[in-house]
Amino acid sequence: MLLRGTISNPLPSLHLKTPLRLRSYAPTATTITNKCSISDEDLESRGFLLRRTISNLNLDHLNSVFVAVGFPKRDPEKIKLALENTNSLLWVEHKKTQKPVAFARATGDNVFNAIIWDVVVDPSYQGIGLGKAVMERLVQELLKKGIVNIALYSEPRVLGFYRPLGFVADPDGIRGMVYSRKQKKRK
Amino acid sequence: MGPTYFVLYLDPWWTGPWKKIHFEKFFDSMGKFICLISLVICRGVFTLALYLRFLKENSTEVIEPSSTLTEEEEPLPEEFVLVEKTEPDGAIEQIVFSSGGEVDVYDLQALCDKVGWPRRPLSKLAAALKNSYMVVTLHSLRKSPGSEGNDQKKLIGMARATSDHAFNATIWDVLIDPSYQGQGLGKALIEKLIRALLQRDIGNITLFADSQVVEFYRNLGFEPDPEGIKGMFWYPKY
Repeated sequence: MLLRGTISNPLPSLHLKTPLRLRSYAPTATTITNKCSISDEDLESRGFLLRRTISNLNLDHLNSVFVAVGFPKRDPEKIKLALENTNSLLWVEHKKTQKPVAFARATGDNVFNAIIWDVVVDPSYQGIGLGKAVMERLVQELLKKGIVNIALYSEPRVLGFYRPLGFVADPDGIRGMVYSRKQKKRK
Repeated sequence: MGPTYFVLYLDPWWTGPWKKIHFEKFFDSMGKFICLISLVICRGVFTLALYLRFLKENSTEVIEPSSTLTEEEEPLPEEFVLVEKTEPDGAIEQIVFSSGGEVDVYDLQALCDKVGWPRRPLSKLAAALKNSYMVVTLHSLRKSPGSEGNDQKKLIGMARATSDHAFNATIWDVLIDPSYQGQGLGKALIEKLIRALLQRDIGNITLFADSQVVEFYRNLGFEPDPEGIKGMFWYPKY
């Protein structure tokens, strides 16, 4: 009856300058800030701006990116509500068109767990590292908050996208499960 | 053969003038009369049951037990008694469900200790609860006879869900006091949590389950890896 999450051990002292890394093979939070595949400056020189708030984000444009990658079309009001209740989000703005071309967000309790949702890159801008840029920075931001349990649900065809970023599927036999009303009625 | 014989046997007693009948014969025939009536009634009930079943199977409408329909549609009260039992000494124990989210962090820490979870800082526990979209709890309320209102209240179960308030919710930290496990309380707790989330129009309810509890959640309506979608963790500590 227990859901196991990776629970961080209490830090020995509250006055640490750099967060203690508890897993020897994982990069530390400090090294990660310097370790992005493409730097912010690089992105800007290519005409892309990194944004971390929903101000200036046109939700209709975002919705069209969602639809372009195959998400079901969702009510913009609900999207607004979801974004307002999202702790961390990141998006890339194309300078020329001022439209969002990449997006990712993470919900959670802001302390122990975070789940990353809605990772999208406009099909016309895929393959140039925007998705990676957004993901790396989102994970960094979560680690900076002290959240070590970062999870997501990945479609089978993009497992290869998340693996190089440090994500492992079904670690230790843990399975991601989704509630299905049809399943319940079938019983 | 039986009934005919019986009627014949009864005939003189039933239609004839009242005579002084030997006691044994009287009770014997009464007994047989009662048996016959019972048989007729049973046969009638059996036939009726068959007929009703025939109707049910042949109707195009899905007839769900009415309690389930109204249960799902009725707004879930914030607090209610799930189970009540009377102990031999006359004390009453109630298991109370609450979605109000009022959890004493010390109680929660004690419960986490009971189930064997590693300790987490109290301040972080409190913050996690505060930042959760929904926190549901089970408390045991024990009223001793003659204790005059000094009820014993104990936290015996909890589950919480984080959410973006619109599309997705994820269930975390499901725990039931080991001495109350195996009674269906965990199942009830999650069922109520799911119902509350669905009533708030959160369509996507997810969770991550250890291999030993995948079956538990499957029985509650959860499906692992739907359409091949996999749960992934960032550098998990095995």
